[in-house]
Amino acid sequence: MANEKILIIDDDPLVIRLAELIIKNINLQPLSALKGEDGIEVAIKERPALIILDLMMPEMNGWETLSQIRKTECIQDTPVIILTARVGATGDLIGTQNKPHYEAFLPKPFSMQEMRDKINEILNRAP
Amino acid sequence: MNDIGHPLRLLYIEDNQDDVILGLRTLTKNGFQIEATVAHNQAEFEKAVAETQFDIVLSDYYLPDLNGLTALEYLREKQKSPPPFILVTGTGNEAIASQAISMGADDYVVKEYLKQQLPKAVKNALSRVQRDQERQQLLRLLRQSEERYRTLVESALDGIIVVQNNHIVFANPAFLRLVCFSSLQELSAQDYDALITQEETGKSDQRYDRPYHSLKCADNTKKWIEIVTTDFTWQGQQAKLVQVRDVTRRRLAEEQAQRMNETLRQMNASLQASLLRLEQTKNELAKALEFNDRMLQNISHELRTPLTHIKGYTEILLEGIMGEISDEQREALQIINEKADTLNRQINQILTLQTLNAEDFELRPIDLELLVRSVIQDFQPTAQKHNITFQLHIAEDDILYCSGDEERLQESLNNIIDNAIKFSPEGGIVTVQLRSVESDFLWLTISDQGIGVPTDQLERIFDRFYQVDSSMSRRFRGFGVGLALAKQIIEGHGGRIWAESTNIPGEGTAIQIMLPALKEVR
Repeated sequence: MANEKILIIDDDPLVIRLAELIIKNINLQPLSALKGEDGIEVAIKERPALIILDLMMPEMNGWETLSQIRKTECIQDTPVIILTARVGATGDLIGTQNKPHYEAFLPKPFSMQEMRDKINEILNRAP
Repeated sequence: MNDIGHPLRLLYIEDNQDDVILGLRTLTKNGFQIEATVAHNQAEFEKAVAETQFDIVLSDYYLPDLNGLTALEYLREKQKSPPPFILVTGTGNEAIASQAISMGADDYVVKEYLKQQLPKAVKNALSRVQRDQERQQLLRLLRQSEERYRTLVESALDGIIVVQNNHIVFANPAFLRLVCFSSLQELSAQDYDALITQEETGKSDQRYDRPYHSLKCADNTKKWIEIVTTDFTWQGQQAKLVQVRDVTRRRLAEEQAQRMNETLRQMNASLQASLLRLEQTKNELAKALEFNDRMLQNISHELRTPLTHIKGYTEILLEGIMGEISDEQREALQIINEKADTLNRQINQILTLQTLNAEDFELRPIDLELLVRSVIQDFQPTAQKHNITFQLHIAEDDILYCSGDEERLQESLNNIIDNAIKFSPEGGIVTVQLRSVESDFLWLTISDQGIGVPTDQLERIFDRFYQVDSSMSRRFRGFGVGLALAKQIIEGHGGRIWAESTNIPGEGTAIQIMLPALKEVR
């Protein structure tokens, strides 16, 4: 369990650093990638238990990356948390029709607690 | 030998009976059937003439009290159509005979040759009479015929004119009325082609073969006419027969229809133009909306991303993940975190304001009393910092439920209470009253003891981004979004919200909210 890997894919290195700090703080192993394609490569190689995916990235954006993940057999069923600022008045993600499956989303800005709780929730761990 | 159909009524003016017998016998021998009357003198002559219409008169010249010529004269004076008159003279009286003829006698016969001359003379005279009668008859028929044709032309309602050498030589009454000339003479003096001119059409829609003509009347007005012209011979010379019909009213109606058509066409054109503009406006609006959406998405992303960093790293520091921190450092970091949260709330409020639809509300039965109490509880820490206390007046016996979206209503109350605290003086009291009105409405009042919103701005404080202009409010500025959002939410629930104040500082502002009550609570 101590070695469960979490992959974070986000084009913002500051966010990656944040996430890494939080993940390490709950005794998990962070992996990271700055681009969608790189993230998929790392996922295939490392088979993380969870992927945290930013939506707004240049080049291959979040949805495209997620789509690719769902099409890649060996990582198809990896749970994904979407990270995004695109949250509307209702607190719902804007524009989610016909999108590939994701387990949860974290609206930006998030608090440490929120990210911790979400990760624990998905990995069925005690908080 | 006579075709009269009845015996010849003969008047014989003769006093010699032998001559009478001779004459009559001569005639009967020649086939005449005679009904004879004899006059021997003036008196008998006049009587006979008064009583009978004779077919022929035979007269001797020499009678005791009249001569043949006076008898002839008498007859011609007294009767409109005197019978033929034959004078019987003796030889050598040719002068008298010729005088008789010139006076109107038909013939004369010499006594000596009575037997030869009389029958022929009578026959000729009778023939002449017959011819005369026939001619009269013909004339009568001719007149009747002429009468009929003339009546046709004079009664016709269309104008009928005859034109020769560019002048009107005949015009029926209808035309004279049409053209307002009082006599044909005046009319004839005009040039025909000056009176009647064909309209310049040049248009492709020729009215079949009858283009409009204009008629210049005597008073210089113009009428529209239709004409039909044909060549014919008039009194032996080439002429034109022209039938003229007044179509002024029809023409004016046509022109009006054309104008209406034109007007309609123009209206149509401007309607089309309007439609086009509407279409354009619609497109522009759609684009603006799209732009608005994208801008909002952009804003939300651009604002929230740095916030993520601020909050994230602040929290990491606070958790001691980067090492232990001092109490002072802790305090500073907490302030940063708090302010980041405030900023986040503001951003959310603006976004909500721009994108909120009433359809987004999730309606459930809400215990408003509970909600109000909970919000006040949440604000106790902030209020305590400024020694501000809450006074609650809740009508415990009333049913205080409404149908609403709890989260949104909470947001509204948060904003209003937040405002009340902001504008309260140190140690002030914020009063909250909740009661129901006739079980139809819930009435919530939140009032402060602050400086009070100026009465002329009471409505505008609910406008988006509106900020009350006062030195005190400068400390707590905000975007001016809180009340606008509250209003949108309250009104989206079918309620009303307004503000009341006096202009007396210290009496503060009261925010009044009415919400439809839920009568049955399941």
